[in-house]
Amino acid sequence: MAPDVHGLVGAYLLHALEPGERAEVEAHLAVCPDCREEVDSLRAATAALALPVAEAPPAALRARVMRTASETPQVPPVVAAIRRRRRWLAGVAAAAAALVIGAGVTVGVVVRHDDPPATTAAEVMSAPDARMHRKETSDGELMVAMSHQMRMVAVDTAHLARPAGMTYQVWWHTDTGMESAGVLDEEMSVAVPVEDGDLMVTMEPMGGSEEPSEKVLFQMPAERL
Amino acid sequence: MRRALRVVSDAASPDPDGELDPEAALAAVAGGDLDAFGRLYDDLALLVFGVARRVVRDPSRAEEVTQEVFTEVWRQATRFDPARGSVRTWVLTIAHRRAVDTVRSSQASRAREEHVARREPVEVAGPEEAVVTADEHEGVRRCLDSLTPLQSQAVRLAYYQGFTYPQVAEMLGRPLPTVKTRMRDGLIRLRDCLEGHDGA
Repeated sequence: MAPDVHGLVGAYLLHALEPGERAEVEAHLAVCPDCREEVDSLRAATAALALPVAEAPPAALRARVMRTASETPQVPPVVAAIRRRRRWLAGVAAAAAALVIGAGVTVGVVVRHDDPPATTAAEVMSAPDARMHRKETSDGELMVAMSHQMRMVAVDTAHLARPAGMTYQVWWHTDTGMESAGVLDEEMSVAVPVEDGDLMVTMEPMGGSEEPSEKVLFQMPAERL
Repeated sequence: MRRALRVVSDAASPDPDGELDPEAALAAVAGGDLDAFGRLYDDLALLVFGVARRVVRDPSRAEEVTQEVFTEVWRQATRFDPARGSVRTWVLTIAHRRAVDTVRSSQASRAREEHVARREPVEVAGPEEAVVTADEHEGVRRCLDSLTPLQSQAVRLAYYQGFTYPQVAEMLGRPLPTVKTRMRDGLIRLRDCLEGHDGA
């Protein structure tokens, strides 16, 4: 994949890729420091293309922007969101988050209510120990990445087709039964904490289901992820 | 915690002109400083709105995009990593991405595509009002002109019109691999040229 991804760096920076290719480039950037360096070195030049088209917005916009900001909570700093024993990871995670946000990726967040840190799929995929699984399905390629250090699994459905009215749902099948770990209605990817059981990804009607009702795209015990 | 806050407020100290540079302003914004956010807006709104206006065309939608971009900057300020580039580059990357996503999701995009495909691409409009220093702006323009015609067209169609590279390839009647390569080497040339001007 690497040579192809290198060729796509320009189109990536110009936001000229289709979503599937963009996800592919981002997954590759997460594991390729040289590629990241090239992208970073070209990002300022790409952004400089904005200079010749500068134009003043209507004056009234400022007040609206300020009001919206005053009503919008800020994302907690990564350092504060990570448990103490994982604090050393914060730098890595912050760098990954900045890379991803800089690149403007849709950011999937943890959906479990009992787990406040909003770890992103990209953070998991870019963890130093992340293991990537690619599963070819009839609807496209599903990517699952496991970081044992972070105790998190990332599921990325950017390469999967989405039939109208359908969504993807992530499950843990444990001794205590089937538990939904997240519904990907809004997002292409999600990061979920590891459980002691099988990770499953299924296609479901929009909004998700109580129990897996449609086809299973992926199933693997946590210890093999 | 107290110590971290103090560092932030130090970083936000005004320089002798009473201005904050974007890096200092963003550090303060990350600490929840709305005044600093206002100054960041004053610094960068012309560029963000300019990109949005250029890519999405419609002025009221460009305003919406501008508002979304700054809200995102406010939300994510805590995650900005200076090691990866400047604040201006970070904000403009978010802005361009948001503008492009807006235009692609719009139903008008097909009509727009036909419209653009019919006429000869692609002039960069003159800036109505330049916030950026004239030197800086002239440098970008001159460097864009130093690209080969195909590099320049590929880069402009993607950046200013928000087209995907397969759309650009179709418009220019060139193979996909050629177009993606021209986008990359066009940006490399632009970077090298701009860095040369910076030194001048």
